Amino acid sequence: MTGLGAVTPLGNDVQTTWAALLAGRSGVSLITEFSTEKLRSDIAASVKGFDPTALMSAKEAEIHGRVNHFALAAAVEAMRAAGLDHPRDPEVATSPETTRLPVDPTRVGCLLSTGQGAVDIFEQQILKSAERGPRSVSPYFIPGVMLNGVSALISMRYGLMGPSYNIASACATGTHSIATSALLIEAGEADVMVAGGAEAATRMNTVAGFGNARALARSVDGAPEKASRPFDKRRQGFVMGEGAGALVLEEEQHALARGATILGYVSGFGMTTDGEHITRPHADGLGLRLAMSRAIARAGITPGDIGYINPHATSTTHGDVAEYAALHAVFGERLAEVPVSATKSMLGHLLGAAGAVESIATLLGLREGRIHPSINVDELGEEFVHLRLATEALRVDARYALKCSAGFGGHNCALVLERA
Amino acid sequence: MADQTDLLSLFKSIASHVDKRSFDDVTPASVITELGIDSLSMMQIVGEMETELGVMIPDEDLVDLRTVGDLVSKIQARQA
Repeated sequence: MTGLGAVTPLGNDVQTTWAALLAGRSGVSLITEFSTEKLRSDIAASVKGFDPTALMSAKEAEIHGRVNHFALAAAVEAMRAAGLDHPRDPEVATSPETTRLPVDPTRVGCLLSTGQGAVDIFEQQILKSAERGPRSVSPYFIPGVMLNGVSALISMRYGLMGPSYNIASACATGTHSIATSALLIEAGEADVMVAGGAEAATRMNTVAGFGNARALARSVDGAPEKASRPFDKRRQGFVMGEGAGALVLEEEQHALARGATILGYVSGFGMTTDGEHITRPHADGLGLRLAMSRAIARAGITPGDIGYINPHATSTTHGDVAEYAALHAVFGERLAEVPVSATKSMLGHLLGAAGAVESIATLLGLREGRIHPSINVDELGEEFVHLRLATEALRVDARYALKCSAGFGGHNCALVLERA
Repeated sequence: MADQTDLLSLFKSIASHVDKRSFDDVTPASVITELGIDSLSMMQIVGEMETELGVMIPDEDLVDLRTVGDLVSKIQARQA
């Protein structure tokens, strides 16, 4: 990994987000963008003060949904950090010769994926059609809502000509995108991949859908910021969040040859499926456990080498239990020795972006030797006896960390990240 | 039925809204490709005009449009 970028409810770049995470701040508040009357939850973790026109024209900002705005901003930050933010001249036809990238553009791809896509554009255009008829539907509707619009937009900025598309695995989307990017590089299909996830799906109909599925948390003790509380006894569901995380993944020799700073490594990944239920995780976390074991095995290490765990930990009643079962099965009694902290306790659930932003937080924890806390744990749920949850920022000297994600559909993905 | 001047004004107003820039200098002789409007944006403008005026412009009317005046004439013919 040679570059990181993020837009989150706690900051519109990596450093601001990381400082807030270390300080244990919550990005959750009351929803103000639309009426929450009759919805089962009225809270969310929203990105604040974000201006899409800093990177695109007002017309482009209108065509693309909020998810694309976040994704592009995160990608640009990551590319800049990697020394690769050299946009092409939009007036000149794309070719390997006309790109401004200091690397071969045919060997650079993008897998910055979204789980749900531009829900805002969907709502807006369907409303328009209902009110004014189908001829008023924008010709940009389809390119605006296609999930691969995110990767397309980033590829067009730089003239990337390597593999780019979208992977959707609900809440594991960002993690799968990182794993698959690493796989593409390993397989020799690309030298550099702009990987990660993005989501901006906090709209009336999605809050209604998740809420009616009884998956969402409400304020606790009247406080929205206390609602996301993974592994706490009073957890009741997740909090919808939005944002984007981008990671520039690069083949090691390629990075060294151009003098790039290597921030860390994707040392292993494991991808599995529960194959059982459309939303409920396997009760024993079997799929997740297999993903973790495969990631650890692929990294060529043992569970004993993992010094920090950043779990999926959505704060749902069943999800946290299933994940704990998976962790306990993989780590055994030693689980009590490995510090764990849940990024979602502060950022809420960034859905398709979650795994990417959480991987960034995991890597920064390894690099700085200090992991962010898990907040809102007043009383650990009784099931989680061996969980060593860090309730304050903690000094940790670890080489390897485990990051895992699970999504609706039973999709699981785990990563082993290694500090440089 | 809207006359040519009304339709030209409507075009300018809708094009400005769609492309987020001024089209005040547009005349019936203005060549569409020279206005820097891309094909999807042009269809967005047509769709908004159809919706506004309650007319339907069939695809075959849109094939040989060169100038803004061409579009205005096609719309007028469909309004008749």
